Amino acid sequence: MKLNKLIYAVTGITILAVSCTKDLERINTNPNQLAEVNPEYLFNTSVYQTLNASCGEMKKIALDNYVQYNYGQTNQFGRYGNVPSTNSKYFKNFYNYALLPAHFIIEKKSEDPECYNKVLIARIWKAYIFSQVTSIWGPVPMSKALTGKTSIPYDDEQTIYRSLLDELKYCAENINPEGDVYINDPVFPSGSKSSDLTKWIKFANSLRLRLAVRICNADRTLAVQHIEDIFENEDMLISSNDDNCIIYWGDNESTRNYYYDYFIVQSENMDKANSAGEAFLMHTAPYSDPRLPKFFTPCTSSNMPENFHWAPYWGKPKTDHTPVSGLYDGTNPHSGIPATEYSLMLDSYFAMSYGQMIMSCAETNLLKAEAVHLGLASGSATAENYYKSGILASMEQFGVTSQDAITEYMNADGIEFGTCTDLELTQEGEAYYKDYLGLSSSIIRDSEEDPLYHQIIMQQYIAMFNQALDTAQTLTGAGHSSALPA
Amino acid sequence: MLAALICSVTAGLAQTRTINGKVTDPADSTPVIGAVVIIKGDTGTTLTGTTTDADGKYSADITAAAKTVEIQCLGYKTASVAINGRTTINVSLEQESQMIEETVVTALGINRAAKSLNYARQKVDTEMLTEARSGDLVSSLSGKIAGVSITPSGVSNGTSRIVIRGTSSLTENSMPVFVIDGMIIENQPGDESFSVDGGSGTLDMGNPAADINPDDIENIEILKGPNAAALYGSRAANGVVLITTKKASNMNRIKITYNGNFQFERINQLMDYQNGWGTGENNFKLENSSYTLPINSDRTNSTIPDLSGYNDKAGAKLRSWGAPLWGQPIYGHDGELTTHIAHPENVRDFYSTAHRYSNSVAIEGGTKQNNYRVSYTSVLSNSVVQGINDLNKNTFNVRLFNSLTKWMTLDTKITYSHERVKNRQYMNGSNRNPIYAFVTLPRDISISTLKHYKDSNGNEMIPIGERGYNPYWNVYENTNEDTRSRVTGAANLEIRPFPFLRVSGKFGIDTYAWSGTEFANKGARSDIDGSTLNWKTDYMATDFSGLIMFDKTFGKFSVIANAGASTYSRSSEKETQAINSLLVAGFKNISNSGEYPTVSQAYSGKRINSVFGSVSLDWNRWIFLDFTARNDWSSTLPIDNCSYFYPSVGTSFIFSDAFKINPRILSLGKIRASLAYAGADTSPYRIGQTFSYSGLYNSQPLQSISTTLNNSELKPERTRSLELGAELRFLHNRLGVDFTYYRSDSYDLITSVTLSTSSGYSKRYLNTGHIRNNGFEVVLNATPVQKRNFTWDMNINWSKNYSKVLKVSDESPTVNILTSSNVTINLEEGRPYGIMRGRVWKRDEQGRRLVDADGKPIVTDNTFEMGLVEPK
Repeated sequence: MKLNKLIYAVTGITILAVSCTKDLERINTNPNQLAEVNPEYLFNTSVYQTLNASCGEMKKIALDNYVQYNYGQTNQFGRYGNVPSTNSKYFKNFYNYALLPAHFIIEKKSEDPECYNKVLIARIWKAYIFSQVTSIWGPVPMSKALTGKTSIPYDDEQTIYRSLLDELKYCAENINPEGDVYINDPVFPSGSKSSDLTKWIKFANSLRLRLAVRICNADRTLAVQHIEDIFENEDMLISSNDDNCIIYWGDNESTRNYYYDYFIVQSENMDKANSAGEAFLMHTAPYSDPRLPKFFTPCTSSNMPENFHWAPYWGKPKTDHTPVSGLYDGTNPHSGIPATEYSLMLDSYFAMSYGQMIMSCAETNLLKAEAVHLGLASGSATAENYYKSGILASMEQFGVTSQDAITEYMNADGIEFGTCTDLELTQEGEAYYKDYLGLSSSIIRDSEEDPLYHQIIMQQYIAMFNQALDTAQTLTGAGHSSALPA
Repeated sequence: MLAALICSVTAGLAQTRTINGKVTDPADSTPVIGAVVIIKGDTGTTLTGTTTDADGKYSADITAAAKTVEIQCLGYKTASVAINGRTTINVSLEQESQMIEETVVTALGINRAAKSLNYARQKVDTEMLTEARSGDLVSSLSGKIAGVSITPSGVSNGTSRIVIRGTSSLTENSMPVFVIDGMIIENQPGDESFSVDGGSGTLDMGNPAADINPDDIENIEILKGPNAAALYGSRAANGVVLITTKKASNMNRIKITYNGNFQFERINQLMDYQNGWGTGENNFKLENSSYTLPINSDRTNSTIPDLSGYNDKAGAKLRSWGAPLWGQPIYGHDGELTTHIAHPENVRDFYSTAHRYSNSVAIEGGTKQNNYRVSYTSVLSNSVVQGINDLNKNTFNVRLFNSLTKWMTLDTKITYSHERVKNRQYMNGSNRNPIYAFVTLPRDISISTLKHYKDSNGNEMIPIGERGYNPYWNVYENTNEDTRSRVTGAANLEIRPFPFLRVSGKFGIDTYAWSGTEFANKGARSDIDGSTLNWKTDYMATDFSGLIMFDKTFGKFSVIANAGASTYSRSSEKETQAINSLLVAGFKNISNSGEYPTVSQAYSGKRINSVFGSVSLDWNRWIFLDFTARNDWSSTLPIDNCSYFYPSVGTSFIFSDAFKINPRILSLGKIRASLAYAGADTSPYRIGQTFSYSGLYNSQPLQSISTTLNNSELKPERTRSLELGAELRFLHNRLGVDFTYYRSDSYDLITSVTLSTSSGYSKRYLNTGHIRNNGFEVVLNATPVQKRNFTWDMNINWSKNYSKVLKVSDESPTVNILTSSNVTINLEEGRPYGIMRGRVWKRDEQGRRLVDADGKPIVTDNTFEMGLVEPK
């Protein structure tokens, strides 16, 4: 009896002391991180990471090379092609860091009435990111992406574009102008910094226009359907530079402009990435584009050939090697010239909190011009008027104030809608519009299949200065390959 | 000398005679071979001795002082016969009716008769650990136990790995836990954080088991997996290393023991290096190439190339792709005019002799009821590379045993250790690893030249190798230091209200404060700004347990039953502060920067509550039946899945006793079988998704989502282990063989599965994976010679483990667990653990290597299997 009591007592005490599951959940609550989803912060993160993914290292190493606003860099993309690990890193930047936070808002807050508009804005942003991702990699996982599953299927481009167009249409139509907003919107802040819902609607519609025009050669019916729908309410497109979608880099070490770190902080990086691209100068300098001083410094180097035809702007060609076939004029002015001896992109593009253009009024107008010209829809104006509006918006965007210079430029042969380049303008003739190798030119000719289309695309190329990814898609994407200006 | 002379004269004068005889077995009068024969004097003092030969005969010269002959032999009772003036004394020995039973410490510190165990058990000779020392305790177990695989640390003070009976996890470490006097010491490897290709900040911090002082160890038992360690629950799956430290052994007198040990190490084997080509990057050029051989414009004779130009070339990789070493004049790396020749011994000259001093003093005394043992050990060691891995470790150990009443005892142990390591070696391909630079050390640099590692402005000179660091800069300017103060303690209060019942309460604690700093001086060519990192870790683990033990014999039937409960808690917190540039060179302080330091804080905690019990039944000391059961509740698992139960059953049958086989022929014949289950939890915070804040943007925090997807539906891992064995000992235990077969299945393994990037995450925790380890162990032991003053014991271990990955995950039959350069290590369903794959030499059908037109071997386009990570 005494023994039994003792056993019971000790067993009872020890079991009580242990009490099995008490406090276990509390102990396993991670004190190092928070479990709450904050849509404000997640959206903030998605926007910053989008900027970092598409306008950071990948832009410098790959995309700048493709569009030649500046010379770019001769590294793996320029010289050796695609290194899988680098490509994977860029893919990861989009999916893991830019898309996932936007997806989280949608997944966790869709049922929350206080997040109705926030979710729609996150959906627009997610659609924008996917439009960038698919423009880089083509078919990518989208419908089943971001689910954490061990197997994620790819979607074809047709499915992706259909889905994005429908998504943007739905979001633009369903945003409640009186509804909830992000308190501190990093994309479209109103005066009080909260979301400007009208601008979000305009952005969604304009982005839809961009994507619809992009696919017009692949699926004209779908493109027409969406563009006609968009043109029914042109006011709800980006219609002034105030509506432009610009996102700014941060003001601290971890979020500031990637190029600021590269060129300003690490001042020893005097490589070629900020030298003016010869190909871009070829499309602007011969026509005395008044936007040039807003892009580059005048070249003061004695290395610039005497009486250079585009002076004071001198750009670095994609290759400075003498071709096997010999040079156009027998000399190679670029041999051994340091990158810093050329016209350089203005430091303002490398400012710490540089505002990166995502989509502008100029581009929207030029897209409208393209759509009307291609007969995809008829809008409130002619293609020519949209074209002019696009150039004027671009002038305003880049701060060109001289009306005389603007007028002169817009009346120049080859620039004025429907005109061709005046090859008699200088004694050099065609050479004035060609690169130093004489391989490509910015000449608009009557004999072209579609000189008007060429003019529109050339203005898109100029207006989207430093929007490397968007321009790369414009130049190389569906239907535009025949009009490559560079 | 004088004393020796007197002794020899005295011996010569004493009368001697010869005594002889024969020693026989009483059963059949066969001679007893190797019996010890001792001639004793009046007071029992030993005068001389010998052993019996193959005929059982002995012979000894004795003096008049000899009074008795004593015969000792294992398996027989000791016989003592008075001489009484006889010259021939034959002795028939009496067989020992019952062998002295060897008792061993089993799970939870319970003492059991060795022969009753139903699992393979092998004794570790702890004296060998102190007599023939290795760098640390784990390394010293190498080769001593069948089925235990030891991977010694690559550097002094580094992590030694121990795996028992094969790897049982897909992506986690499979190391057993260490239990010291009842306190669990988690043996987390200190090399987990670094990658094969290095990067920066990759120090091997060693593992906690290295803190165990071999001088204080009384006994080590290795419980090989669930069959032996089922009562340890979650921790049993990978086995347990059970250590009992020394208590006072000499009662009623004070005993002082000193143990001094000195070891030294030298590099024995180096790679073969070419000596035909000198410093350069490409083209084997000496002149006319500013790229391969910069020419300093200040030199008056610019035709003589100047290797010191490399000093200003950030990121220069000084390898041996330069000019031929023809003794031509050249300005060397230090700017001095010299000749361009090879220094074939330059790598060897870098290394010196490493030393390790270990000094230990122990004082013990007291009575059987109350005794103490206090010890102090000092260890000083360094490395074959002077200036790194300098260890200074001091350990105090106190072990007290007190009988508070006749029925209550308190066994207490406290160990305090203080360890300081200066300049742990950076590992693998780390920029800071001084050894790594030597892989590609140019042949024309002598060590005396290389020692000019810093110029008058404090900047690095002669950066060499793949990573462009001078190894002496790494040793003297890129330094680190850490200090750990640690207390481990255990107290066991035991009450014995009845002879057959004991109740014990145990408390164990393991806690340490560990802090360190990593410093990179400014001025390195590849890291001009320098950096400092300070870190501090506080760790605490406690274990409370209560146990009731019942032990009673009813005639030929006896029962041992235990029931208990425990709660184990563990927490750690690490804080770091880092600056990525220095204002003043050489000033090792976190304030030495114009920037704000980046800081981090990481806390980790878990608890496991348990109840457990076991019953051992014994019939007539020749058949035993054991049952164990345990239930754990772990905080690391979802609350609905946090409870897991696992039983075990085992039996052993001593047929040599059951059938009363003559112990001279078969001293022990035993067969055994057991089946055990074990469960395992996981690391903390793997259930719910959490978010961190990683910066400020747009005046708001950035909320980051971990790229590892946690899982709120995790279940405990399971292991099922079957073990069969036989143990045979012959000739009074002088020859023995122990054979074991085991098969262990670990399934529902909690695995960090790599996801495709488009899933949004990099990894996800899933209960997936199934690994089977089966194999056998054979232990042979023999005592070929057993004399009074000399015994020769032999031990041969042979084991073979076959691992097989039966399942990786539902979605994928393979998973990549490591990629290094062009080699991957993979788990593939149906294959052994850890398949190495990479591109190999192309061969023809006969296995001959294919070469291209230049005679160079051709590499395959695709990857092929290259081997296994585990020994065959």
